[in-house]
Amino acid sequence: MQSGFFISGVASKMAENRLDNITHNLANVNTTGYKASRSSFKSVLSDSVGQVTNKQQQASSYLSMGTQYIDTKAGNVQQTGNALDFAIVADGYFQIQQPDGGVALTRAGNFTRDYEGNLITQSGLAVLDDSQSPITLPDGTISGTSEGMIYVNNEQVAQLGLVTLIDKNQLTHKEGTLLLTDEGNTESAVGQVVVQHGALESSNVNAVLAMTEMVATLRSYESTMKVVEQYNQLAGQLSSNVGKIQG
Amino acid sequence: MMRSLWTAATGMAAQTTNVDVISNNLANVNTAGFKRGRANFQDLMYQQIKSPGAEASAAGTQLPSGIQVGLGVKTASIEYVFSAGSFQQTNNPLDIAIQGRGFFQVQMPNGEVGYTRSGSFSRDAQGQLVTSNGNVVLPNITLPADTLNINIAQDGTVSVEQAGSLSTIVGQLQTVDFSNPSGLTHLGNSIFQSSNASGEPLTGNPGENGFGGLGQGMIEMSNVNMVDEMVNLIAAQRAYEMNSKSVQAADEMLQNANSLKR
Repeated sequence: MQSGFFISGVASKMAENRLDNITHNLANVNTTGYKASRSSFKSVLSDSVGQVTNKQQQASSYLSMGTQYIDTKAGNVQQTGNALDFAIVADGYFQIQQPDGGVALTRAGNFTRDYEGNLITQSGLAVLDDSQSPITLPDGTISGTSEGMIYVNNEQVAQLGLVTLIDKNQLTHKEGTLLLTDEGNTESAVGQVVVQHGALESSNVNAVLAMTEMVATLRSYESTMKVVEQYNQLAGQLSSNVGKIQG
Repeated sequence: MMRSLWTAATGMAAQTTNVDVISNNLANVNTAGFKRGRANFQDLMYQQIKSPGAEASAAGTQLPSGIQVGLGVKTASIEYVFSAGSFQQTNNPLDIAIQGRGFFQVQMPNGEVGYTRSGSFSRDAQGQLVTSNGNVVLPNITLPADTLNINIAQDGTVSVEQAGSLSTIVGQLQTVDFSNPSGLTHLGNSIFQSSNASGEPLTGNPGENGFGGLGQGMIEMSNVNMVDEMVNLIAAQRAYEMNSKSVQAADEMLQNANSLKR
């Protein structure tokens, strides 16, 4: 079979992967603090098909999933007026304690309190302060400053442990709107990160772009499928016509 | 089959929940003491195709970032927002609003104690203070039959004026507060129940220790903001539509693939 047959097949598989990614972004178009992920593709050279000495023979290239990156662009900030909602305005992340003790990052500041007064995320993980310990808020009226200092009844209680990334590309997604990075890749940025109290950052998925990409992906899938179809016809003709003696 | 189909389905399911919550908010825009809900979403787990830091070549170079395919969205919680509603003057002596933190306690038919912010009370045949559903308000307050005037002070003291006598104190209304009101369970009829997440009720007198004072002749209206809800409804509907387009796109691709083999 011609290698083009498989090249097109792989290309359509990659279009499926791209659609998976776009779909996931669209599914999270209303998820607070969600960061869109974008995939890029690269071509992988296969062994040259024909004779190496034949200069005209080009090596064929397969499309492969290259890298993926997380779009860290800030989403829109929406006012909610809720006492336990925090939004980071530009760069920066909240630190969250994971069940295994590790630290995860998030931009989803829709926190809540448990019955003991601990500040937790919607999935029940503790929000960390600037000394990496969980935050406990007494009962009372909660207010926050733009530096991420939390006051209860006008008394200073805790400073949100805000960090920035050193290498912004080293990020991976984790379920629950968490982001993971290497331990040494964060630096404390209390005082530099601007926090808005009573507001939430919406998802940074660009719906228009995502829909456009979806159409483009769909069409590129169609055209690679057409190529597969052509190869299929070619192979069909080959097996039915070649060697047939017509008289 | 393609992941996209199910990923899009999670998106549609999440937006359906979102519309459900918004519709409930809109339906209760005129319900006294109603607290609006908010659906919170989180992304679902990721399928790891290549992990970051994996060996990329024989020379030992490493992948700077991995490849993860996300599998959609889930509803993390439906949170009830206990911000204050606005107050409406009714001049009905048995309409009581809590100005700040706190809940009234009511005796439910099953013997348990329920909590409510809706203070539009009435009197039953025995003269007891009851909610509009007939549940007795705790601590029990009985108003004498010949009551002319009822006066409920900011600190919860209930006094009445009877024919031929000066005002006499007949009871003290107490309110309760919770560490985490969002953790209360909704029972319907504007009544909440305590749960493990809300913590134990802390009883106190209105107007003391951070408890809100009482306002007689007023009701607390719903804290639903019509404009916000309408905008959220539009956003939810459009998000639903986009996810249905993802299903269509995935379906079209599968159709294409299917048509290869005739």
